[in-house]
Amino acid sequence: MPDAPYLGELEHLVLLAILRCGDDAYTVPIRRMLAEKSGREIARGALYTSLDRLEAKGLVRSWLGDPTAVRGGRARRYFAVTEVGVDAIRAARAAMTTMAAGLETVLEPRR
Amino acid sequence: MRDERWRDVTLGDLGEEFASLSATSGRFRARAWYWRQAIAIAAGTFGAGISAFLRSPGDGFMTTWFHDARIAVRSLRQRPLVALIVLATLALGLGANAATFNMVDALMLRPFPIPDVDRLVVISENSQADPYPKETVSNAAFLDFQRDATGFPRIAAMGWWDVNMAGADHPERVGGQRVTPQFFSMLGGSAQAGRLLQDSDMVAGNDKQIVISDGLWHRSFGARRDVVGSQLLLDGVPHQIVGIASPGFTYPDGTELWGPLALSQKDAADRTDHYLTVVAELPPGGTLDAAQSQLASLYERQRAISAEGTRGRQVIARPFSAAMIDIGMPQILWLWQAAAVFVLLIACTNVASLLIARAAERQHELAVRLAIGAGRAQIVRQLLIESLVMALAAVPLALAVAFAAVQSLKSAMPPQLVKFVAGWTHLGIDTRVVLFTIAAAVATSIVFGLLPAVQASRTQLTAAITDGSRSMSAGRARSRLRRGLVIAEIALALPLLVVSALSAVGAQRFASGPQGYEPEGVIRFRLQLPEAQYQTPAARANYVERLLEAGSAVPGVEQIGTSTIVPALSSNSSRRIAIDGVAENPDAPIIASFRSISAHYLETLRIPVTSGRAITSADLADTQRVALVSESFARQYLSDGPPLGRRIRIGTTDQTWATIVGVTGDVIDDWFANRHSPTVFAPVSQVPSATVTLVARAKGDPAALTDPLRAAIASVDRSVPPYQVMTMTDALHERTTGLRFIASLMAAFGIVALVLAAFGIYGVMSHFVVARRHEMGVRMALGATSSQILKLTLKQAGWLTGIGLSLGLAIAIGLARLMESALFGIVALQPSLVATITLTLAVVGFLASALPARHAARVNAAGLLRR
Repeated sequence: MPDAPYLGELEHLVLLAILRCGDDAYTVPIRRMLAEKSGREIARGALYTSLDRLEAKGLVRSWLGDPTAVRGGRARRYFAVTEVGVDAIRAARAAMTTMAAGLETVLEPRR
Repeated sequence: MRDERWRDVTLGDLGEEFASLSATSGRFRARAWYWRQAIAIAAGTFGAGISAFLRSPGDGFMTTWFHDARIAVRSLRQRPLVALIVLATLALGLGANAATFNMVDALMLRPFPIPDVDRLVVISENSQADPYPKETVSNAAFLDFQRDATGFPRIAAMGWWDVNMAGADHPERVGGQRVTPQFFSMLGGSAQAGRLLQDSDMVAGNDKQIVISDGLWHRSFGARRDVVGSQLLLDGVPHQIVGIASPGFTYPDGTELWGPLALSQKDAADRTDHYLTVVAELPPGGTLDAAQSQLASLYERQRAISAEGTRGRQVIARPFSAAMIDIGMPQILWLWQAAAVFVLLIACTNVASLLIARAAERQHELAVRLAIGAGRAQIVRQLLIESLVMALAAVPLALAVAFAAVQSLKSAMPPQLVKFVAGWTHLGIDTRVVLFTIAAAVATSIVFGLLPAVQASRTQLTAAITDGSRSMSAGRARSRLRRGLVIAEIALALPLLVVSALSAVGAQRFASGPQGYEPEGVIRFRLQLPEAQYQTPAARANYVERLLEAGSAVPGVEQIGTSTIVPALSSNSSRRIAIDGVAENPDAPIIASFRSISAHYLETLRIPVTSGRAITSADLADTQRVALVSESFARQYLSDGPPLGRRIRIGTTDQTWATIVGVTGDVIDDWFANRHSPTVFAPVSQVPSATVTLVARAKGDPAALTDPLRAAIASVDRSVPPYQVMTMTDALHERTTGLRFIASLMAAFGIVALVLAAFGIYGVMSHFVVARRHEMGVRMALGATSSQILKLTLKQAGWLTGIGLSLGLAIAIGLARLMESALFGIVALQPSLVATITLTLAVVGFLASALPARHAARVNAAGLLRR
């Protein structure tokens, strides 16, 4: 898939986090997922910028949910990865695997 | 927030996370978390929001600038001390300029709070014989202009009319003006009660109507409403108060009452006495040139009518604000502004040298930026924007400095002088000052930032990245710049120090140096005889006789005398003088100051008689007409022989010759146009005047004579009130306030300049020396001794100081010469003073180079090379 868009590292992680969150992929759990699984506390602004950029590239789409009381009557913004987004993840992953092949001795986690 | 769409989502996210956090960690911690988040978002996205806004019009220009500014702020915060020093230096320099601009603006550019002042012009019949331009026109010329000058929709005249006022609470001397009806509307005056003057008041016989000022109404009439319509004795003549001017209207120069300029037929035809100030209004869109040419052609017609009144004169229309400002004021204000600019330039040099030092430290950072693709232009722009950010950050501080300076200036000026300084009351920081300061800051940032920025962008990539401090090629350009800065610093500081010291010392010398008389122990009383009661010369002479008799009987009076005008007075009197045997030049007549004095006057003031004799009580109306002349008169006009025995004619109306019987020493009458002016004295018995100033030398404290002498004056004639009563020492002090003001302000500039320059010279010099430590190390490694290194460094520093001093000296002498002519000789180039200042700067330069050089020479070669 040579045409798949290039992914930055943060974008890669954000896409994976959206996929992991499934139907509940709105900003709060996405950020929490990133913090739990990757160990990186991402600045709110950086996440929002990244989400915007991903949507502009067509890798994700977003919509607003219903307002809820706990949010002070404000809506959640939900995200889902598009076909193109999934392709991009695959491409990045494949590139990663190809590059890493044969380096197992170096890349194996130390005991 | 960067995006409307995100706004609600973000707030929602915060609310949701807050709720879950407060459930787990408690409300208090949740609240703290919430605010931390909110502030972080606000701080983080505020800039982004602005840049998003700036990006929206479509090009990236403003965005990059804004981005650069953010980088600049960040890089300044990394070096707070440097930033602080730069800010303080710039605040001082910009503040001095803001304060002087405020004065130039308020006192010179728009000193008069008059509507449409830009359309007002002052018409004058200028004569080459006048020592300085006077704004005066004769009665007949004014009436001609009023009738025929169609280029002016409105025209008004005013003439001095100081009067003795009786009929109020106590008799007093009041400053007044005779004016034409248009005067008030043109100059922004209105009535708060009653009416202003009108055409019907201008008719002789119906002209005993006056308008009084708000100040006089409160002071002398207790602000009673019923004074309108009441009668008042002015110089013994009943006048009716028809109106009270609105508060604040005291034009010109604190005038307290205005009467109609009603001219008798004889006066209306007079073309020889030029005393009226004439103000005219240009039509909307009208030009000065068009008005001027119409006036000129009208004046040619007047020449045909009166050759005498127009001889050597030209009619000139000048902008009101320029014509009405005090003589000497523009020069002094420009002097201050120039001094302030020098202070700013020195500040710029200091800052530039700091920036160059900083650029050397940042070489590595800049090289990396160049390496990853930044263009040189980008680097220059980035550094310039850092300069701009610093300069703009200094603006509030500068305004604070200016505010403090203007406040202290305002409080230093005595109130009795303030009314004569048009515009003084509206001194203060306003929008114009703020805008000026911002503009000055922008210009300044380019002055101090451009060279260091261009220089820094020349960084040699490879050398800088491997080891910045040893790059020799970039160092050469930088050291050339450093040398230039050493020279500039000295060349700027020297002229400012010289000029400020010269004017401070000069003004101080005139204010407290020898005056040509002894003011200590003398008290003065001004008197004006009302014309109605003292019409004949005999009556006036008789008054003076009785006055001296009553005054000398007062215990404690050592000597007493009178003169029309005494030194340290704000007024003067002069006459046209003809000398027997010298042909009169009608185009350049001899005009000399004239004093009609009593016996013992010169003695009372201790004005020396250098040859011949003084006026005595034996000089009477029917004895031989005599006169005394001052040394400056003798020197200027009678240099072809001994003055004693020569004959002169005083004034144009009196055809009798007076024989010169004595020569007096010169007296400083006033410090600008009239210092040591040629003066002629005549006995008051032979040339009596209605203007009398009584001076008395006391055996003890002169102030103790105030009341007894007042009583003596009242005993002669109650209707002649003394005014401006004060000791001569106080009068001199008041009269020289302006000078001392100039002196202290220039001294302040000098001190600021010295401090800035001392720091600056030390800064550039030590940086110049320190930057060459590596070279010193190499030399020492090759066998040079410490003392050789020291000598070499000092020699080079000495050269730079020498070049700076010679350049500075040339500028200083040029400026001082300019000031000698512009400031009426207050400033005289004093070689000893100039030499002292030059030497001082040389010592500062030497110390500034010797200290770091000695330090560097002590360190061993290895230490220097390792750095």
